[in-house]
Amino acid sequence: MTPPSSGRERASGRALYFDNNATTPLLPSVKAAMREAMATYGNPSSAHFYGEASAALVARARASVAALLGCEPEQVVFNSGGSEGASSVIVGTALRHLWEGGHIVTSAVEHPAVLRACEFVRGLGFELSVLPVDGAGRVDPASVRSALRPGTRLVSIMHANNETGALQPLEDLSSIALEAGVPFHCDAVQSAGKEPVRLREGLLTISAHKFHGPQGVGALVLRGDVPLQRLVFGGEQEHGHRAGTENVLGIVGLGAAADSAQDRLAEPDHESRRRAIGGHLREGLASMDGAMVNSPLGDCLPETVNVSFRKLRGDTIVDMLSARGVAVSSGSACHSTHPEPSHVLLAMGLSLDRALGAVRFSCSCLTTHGEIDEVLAVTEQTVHQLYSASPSRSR
Amino acid sequence: MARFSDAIVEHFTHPKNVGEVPDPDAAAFVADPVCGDQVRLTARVVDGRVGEARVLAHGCAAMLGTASIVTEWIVGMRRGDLRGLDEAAVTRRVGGLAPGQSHCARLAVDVLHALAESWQRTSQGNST
Repeated sequence: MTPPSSGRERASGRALYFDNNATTPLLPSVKAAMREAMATYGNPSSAHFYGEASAALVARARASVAALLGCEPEQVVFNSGGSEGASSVIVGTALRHLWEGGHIVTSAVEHPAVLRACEFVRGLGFELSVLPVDGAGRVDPASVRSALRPGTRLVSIMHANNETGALQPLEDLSSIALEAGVPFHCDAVQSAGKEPVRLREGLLTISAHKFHGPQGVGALVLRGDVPLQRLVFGGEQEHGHRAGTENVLGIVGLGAAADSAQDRLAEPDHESRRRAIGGHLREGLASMDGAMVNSPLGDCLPETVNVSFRKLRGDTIVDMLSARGVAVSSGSACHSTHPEPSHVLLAMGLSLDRALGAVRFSCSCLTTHGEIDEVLAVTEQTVHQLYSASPSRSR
Repeated sequence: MARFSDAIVEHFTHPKNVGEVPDPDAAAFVADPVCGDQVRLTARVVDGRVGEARVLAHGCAAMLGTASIVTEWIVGMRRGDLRGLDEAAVTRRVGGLAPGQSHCARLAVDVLHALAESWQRTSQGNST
């Protein structure tokens, strides 16, 4: 779809990308690795030397992803990204228990890839517990313990929320499930590459394009003996977990992005830099007229700042910022005159108006303080314009 | 198709005639209870025609752009001209509306017809 404006205003200034939770630009090192891999075109399953060359690229990437996620290379299953990963875990679990049925536990703030897969398996006859969250968007570990019952086949809870950045207490949540003998799935799509992500057992899904890799490729990490029915049939690629010729170019890009992320995570100032960038953005937005920050202050991806402006609509702000060269995202969208609020913000107990007013600003490792200053200036001007033109004229 | 016409982008980024006409000869307010969009339109009448129009609007970007375009469009129109405007005319004037934005044309027509009624009431009040 064509962007809201034809770039008229952007022509006078530079474009500012603050929608990194949606996707991130490729790093130069990732582009270089993919460009080099384009010369290699053998099928990794082929026995000849062309195939061996491609298989070596895939193996190298698998080792990189394993190093980033602290697992063994053979526990990494490449796929098309986070949505496929979630479906393969949730639907794959249900299909393995189709005849005896069962119960799945998830939370109210999961990504639609998880929630819709859970709804699908409910249609297959499985019971579903959707756990509530507190005002910061976090699941109480005690609620996981209470939800478990004989026949619980899976607990699926995300690490970092894509809309607010809120981090779940992953270690506590996974321990409760694993100690009860229930497989735990962590949707780590939004945290991988930013936060250290470690899961001693269970399932973890990531997507390359959220940390400067290419779109359309990701991975599922399978640790321990987790019964999953494969969803794609054919060959024995990916240790028999996912058939189909590998997306070699994408996998190479994912591997390069994982290498780069691991380097960043090892930098001594990684955490302080993230907090400085996120704090700058958060404080600037919070100081604006009518602003209410929805992202929690602690235990949150600092790169993500979700903010509502009292009595203003988030989708309007997004469209106006886009026309002014700033790319951000709204949790809600005006579909056929019915604005749809974010299920995450509503689950946190926010009012409908506040949820409809939400705008998400998300940074990456490439974001600079200068860009944040520019974004804050354009946002303040836009918010002021909207308040000045409103029939209510009051914040 | 693009989500917004060039005219709508120009008007929501640089809105024209924002505010209220002091002591207006006609004033109208409409709101869509479903999507929450609101428009308050006020006008001064000069020699039987709209001499000036100002608007305050809340809603989606397409609504804000449409409301701004309307304030320039109706200058010079007679009361009967306002009554004759329909959604198709508004849609053409704003350069087209994407699917899901048709409520902007409907709300614009509603506020323009309400303005015409207000104008008539003012005229009747002045003649008695």
